[in-house]
Amino acid sequence: MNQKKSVVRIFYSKLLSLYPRTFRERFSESMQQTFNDLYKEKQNTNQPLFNFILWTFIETSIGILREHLLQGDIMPTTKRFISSALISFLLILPFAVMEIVNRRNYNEDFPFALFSFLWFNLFTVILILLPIMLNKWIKQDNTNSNLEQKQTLLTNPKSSLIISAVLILFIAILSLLSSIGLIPSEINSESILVFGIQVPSIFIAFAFYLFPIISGYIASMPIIRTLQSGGSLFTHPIHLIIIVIISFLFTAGTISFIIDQWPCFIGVPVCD
Amino acid sequence: MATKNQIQPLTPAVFHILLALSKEEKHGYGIMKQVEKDSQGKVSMGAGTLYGSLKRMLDSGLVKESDKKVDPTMDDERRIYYQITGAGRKALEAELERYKRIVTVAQERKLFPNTYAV
Repeated sequence: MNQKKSVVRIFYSKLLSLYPRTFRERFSESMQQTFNDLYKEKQNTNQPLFNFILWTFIETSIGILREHLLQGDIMPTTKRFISSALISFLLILPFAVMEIVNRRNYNEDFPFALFSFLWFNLFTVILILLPIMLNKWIKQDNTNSNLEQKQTLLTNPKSSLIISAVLILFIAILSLLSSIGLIPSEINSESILVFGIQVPSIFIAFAFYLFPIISGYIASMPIIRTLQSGGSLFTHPIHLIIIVIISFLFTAGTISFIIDQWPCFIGVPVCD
Repeated sequence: MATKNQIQPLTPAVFHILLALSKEEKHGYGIMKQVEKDSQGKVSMGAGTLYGSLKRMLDSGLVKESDKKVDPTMDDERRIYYQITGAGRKALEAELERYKRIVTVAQERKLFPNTYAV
């Protein structure tokens, strides 16, 4: 019992380490104490520990996310990636729980690949849209006109548009090659011969995903910068169109996946 | 100086924390338990919400930290206690006034369940 308790404590302290540094330095010790007190209380009153632990970890994760989003005017790359990963994880969690609970009697392995796909789709959409939504709807009054002067290759509207368009074109070319049979559309074997080079099929599949993600990410940069300096969402319409198209495709993929897998989530015996 | 009417409405979490601290200073776990008691078990505040709210309340001067001390009813661990400030008390009074006005309006409009049949 004590070993279980210390493992949970360690996990909770690891979770607390994800808070922004200033918050962590100020409150993590108190939060750990409070968690220990609650844990002790639940143990002494024989209340279900699993529910308490699950609820605490989800609630604290949301708190971590909130503190990250509320802190700092610009969302740095790492913060953007971590927040998107965490949000998408929390969004798929109910489905994972449904899958585990409703299919526990069928002696099946947990479909990690399917959930990774679902997570990845959501992650992409959130990664691209999160800072735009934050700057558009949450930080409207907190603008900084100095930001407009600091331009880089990725925040400059012209260069970012070119990079983004090239990446989209690359995907279009890959799709074209696939449609004329140079790249098989059904990737089953371990490696595929592309222009005489053996390329692992997983790389091809990942490339199909990676390019629109990077494209959408780069296209979002000037829009975020404009919103941060108090500009309009529609200042860069072509960038916006690219983002909308990419986000729409990934959202549609996510929704159709959930609809397709819904019978499995609710425990239908033969659902595939 | 802001009058009671000019004080912005409080979020439910901030309101409950101020209410919990209105009688005496408390540490995090003590606040959680008091919130649960005040709301007859209907509000269960998690650590993420509690400490996120406390941070913003400390920053805006609604509460302040006291020195670390031991809770005689618990264990020998030293804890940070939080106490309501003058500004916090004013904000709580203003919020209670708002609630009172809303209840008065609801009573006038006979919106309470036992007044429907009148």
